[in-house]
Formats: sequence, C-alpha cells, structure tokens
Amino acid sequence: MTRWSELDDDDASLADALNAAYAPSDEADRQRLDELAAAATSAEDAATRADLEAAWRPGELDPEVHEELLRLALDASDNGALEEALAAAWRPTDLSEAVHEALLSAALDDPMAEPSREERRAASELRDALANRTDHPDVALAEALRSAAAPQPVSELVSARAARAAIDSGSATSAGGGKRSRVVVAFIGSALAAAAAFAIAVNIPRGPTPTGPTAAQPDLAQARSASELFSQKFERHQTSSRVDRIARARARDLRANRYAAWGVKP
Amino acid sequence: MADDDLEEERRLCEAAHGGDRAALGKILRKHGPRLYRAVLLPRLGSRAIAEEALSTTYIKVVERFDKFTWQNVGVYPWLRVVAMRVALDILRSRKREVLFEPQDLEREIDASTGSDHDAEVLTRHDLALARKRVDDALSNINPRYAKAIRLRILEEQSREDAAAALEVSVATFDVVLHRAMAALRKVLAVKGEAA
Repeated sequence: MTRWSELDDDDASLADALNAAYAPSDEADRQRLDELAAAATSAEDAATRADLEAAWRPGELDPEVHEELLRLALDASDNGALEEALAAAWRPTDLSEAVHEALLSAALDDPMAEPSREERRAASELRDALANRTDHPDVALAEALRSAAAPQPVSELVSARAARAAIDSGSATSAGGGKRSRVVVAFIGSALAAAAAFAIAVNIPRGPTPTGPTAAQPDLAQARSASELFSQKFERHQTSSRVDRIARARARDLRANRYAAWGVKP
Repeated sequence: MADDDLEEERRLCEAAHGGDRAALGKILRKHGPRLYRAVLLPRLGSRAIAEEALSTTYIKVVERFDKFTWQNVGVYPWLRVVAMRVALDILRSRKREVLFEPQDLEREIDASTGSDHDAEVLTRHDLALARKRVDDALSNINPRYAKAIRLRILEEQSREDAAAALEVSVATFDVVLHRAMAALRKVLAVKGEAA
C-alpha cells in the first residue's frame, strides 16, 4: 500500500480519500466513498485498486499509514505545504461556488464557438482600443499584465525629477517656510457643471526653473468644454459614466500638464 | 552588494541623517528605478500610477528618513517597505482588476519586517513573484485563451502573427482575445472575492 510519505501532489485526492475513509463525517464523504467504490471496481492497475479499496472501506485504514500520518502531522510544524496538505486531507472544505464556476468556464468555454453579434462588436472595440491605447477596461488589464510580466524601467528623467521635487519639498518644510511645490487642480462649476468644464492650473513655485533658450513655456492643456468627449447625446440615467469619462480625460490632462511643467515631456 | 558599495551607502545614509539632501538624492537616484520596476509597476499595473507612486514614495522617504536605522543589507529593504505601503494605499482605493490584492501587499510588508535580504535578492524575488502571478492567472483560463493573451498582450505580437500562431483568421483572433480577456477578468474577480 502507498505510504503517506510517498504521496505527491498528484496523490492529493487519494490522501483526501484515505481520511474520508478513515472518518467519514458527512454526506459528502459518504458520497465520495461511493465514487471510490466504483473506481476501485473498475481500476485495472492492481496497486491502484488496492489503494482505492483500502480507502473505500471505513475502518480498514492501514494502522501503519495512520501512524505515519500522525507522526508527520506532529513533525510538520515547520512545513507549510505539508501542513496545508494534511489540513486539506483531514478537514476538506467545500469548493467555493465562484471558484467552481471559474473552473467550469475554463473547461467548458469553447474559444472557437461562433461569436454573437455582441461579441463581434466587443471584439472590434477591444481591437481598436489596444491599437490606439484608448480608454478601455481591457487595455488597463493588458497594461497590468505587461507590468507584472515584464515591467519596464522608469524614465531616468521622471525618477530624477521626482527625487528633486521630493527633496526640495522636504527642504522647504524643514526650513520652516511652509512653501511646497504644489499642483492645484481647480474644478469650476457645480457638480453637474463639472461635466462641462474645469480648469487646471499648475504652479510650482519652488525648485529649479529652466532658463535660457530651453525655458520656453510648456504647452499646457487648457480649460475647455467637455462636449468633444461625446459623439452622441447621453441617455438619461447614465450621468455617472458620463462624469467618469470626463474625470478620466481631465486626469490625463492634469498628468500631462505636470510632466510638461516639469519639462519631462513636451 | 559589494562591501565598498555598502560602505558608500552607509556613508550616504549617515550624511542624509545629518540633513545632507544631496546624499539623500544619491540614495534615491540609485534605488528609485529598482523600486519602480520591481515593486511599484508590477503591483499597480499602470505606468502612470506607478510613476505617481514613486513620487509619493520619494516624498515619504524624505519626510521619514530620520526614522531609518542602518542595517547591514543597506537601505533598500527599508525603501521597499515604504514603496509597498504607498502601493498598498493605492490598491485599497482602486476598483479595477489587478494581479495583486491589498492583502498580498500586507502579507509582503509583514514578511519584510526584519528581513536580512539585500536589494539584489529582494528584486529577484519581487520580479519572480509578479511573473508567477501572471502565470497563475493564465493557468486558470482555457489554454487557447492563455496563448492568445501571451502572444498579443505579453509578447505584443501583431494581430496577424498571433492569429497565425493560433491558426485562425485575424477576425477570429479578435474574438478569441476578447473572450480571453473576459475569462481572465472572471478569474481575477474570483481571486479578489477569495481575498
């Protein structure tokens, strides 16, 4: 019979079965034993059949295996993986419904199934968004994947400017002047009017000021109507997504203005 | 890190403790790019957000450097924890799908306390962990979907090349990629709920 110490990951289900057989605690365990009975009957390999049969019959767990199990359980305090395996075998928990659904989807989804009209439309949108790097939830997810799999180095300019801004900021504070580089974002208008326009003013009173021929005023995004963001009239009850779109666009403006003011980007 | 480099870093840290901003600037310039690439960008999943996080990290370092005490592995482990705390705050306030949950960073910060690993070891660990996250996520979706994402998103191959690799038309590949992203989103949502 297979010894507990000889079980590997692939034998996790057998380990599970051994314990269920040893102390069936609920209907799920009994059902599992029934499945094992069927498997044992049909198993062609003699050793496998012996293991399954041993697991099948409650109370017939090999005492040596049980001793081995207990010894390992007591000795395994510094072995997280083994602890987890033992706990899973001793007190198996139910599979989360959400996890189960995800597993089913992975197994049953047919990547080559005929797409619906809606799927074709969504696929086209994703294609365009990836090509143009425009706002799209999957573009953000794609960037997250790339950032985790192969993160690119930060621009030296961005890093150096940020370091200098932090140090200048700290110097100003410690000197008691209380003046910090600051970025002021002014939203103009009421909550609804925020959808129409807001102004961004970037003011960096401290820190290095470029001089000479390179000190040209950066071309900053200006306050303007939000109408250019919408090609068609918004339906009622979509005010939240409308404001979200404006907020995203203006956040981009703000970031671009900051980089322009720092001289990092034109 | 070589002994000479470590000694130089210790000297810079002493100077920074004494209020030498130029010394602190040298420390940040040396380690900042590593913080961005190994800690912030993989966890936050967006260059723009990671750059802002690096800026916030620098400000916090400047404000709190007097609390840093020298360790024989250098200043990087301390900087890394500051950066992870910044990333943690950002993750907590975000809604979009990312590969790391706030709880992941909390565990990493806890595990970093008293760590005696140097910058090189920590960087390798962080990069490997991030890559494993991607592999784990992709292993939970249909292999064909995973391949589509690897080809088009991770390797940034053209649609035509990716479609050829999957032996489908370009139009079909667009649909497969759309389905792949939807499947991945579902997996990440499950993971988020579990966390």
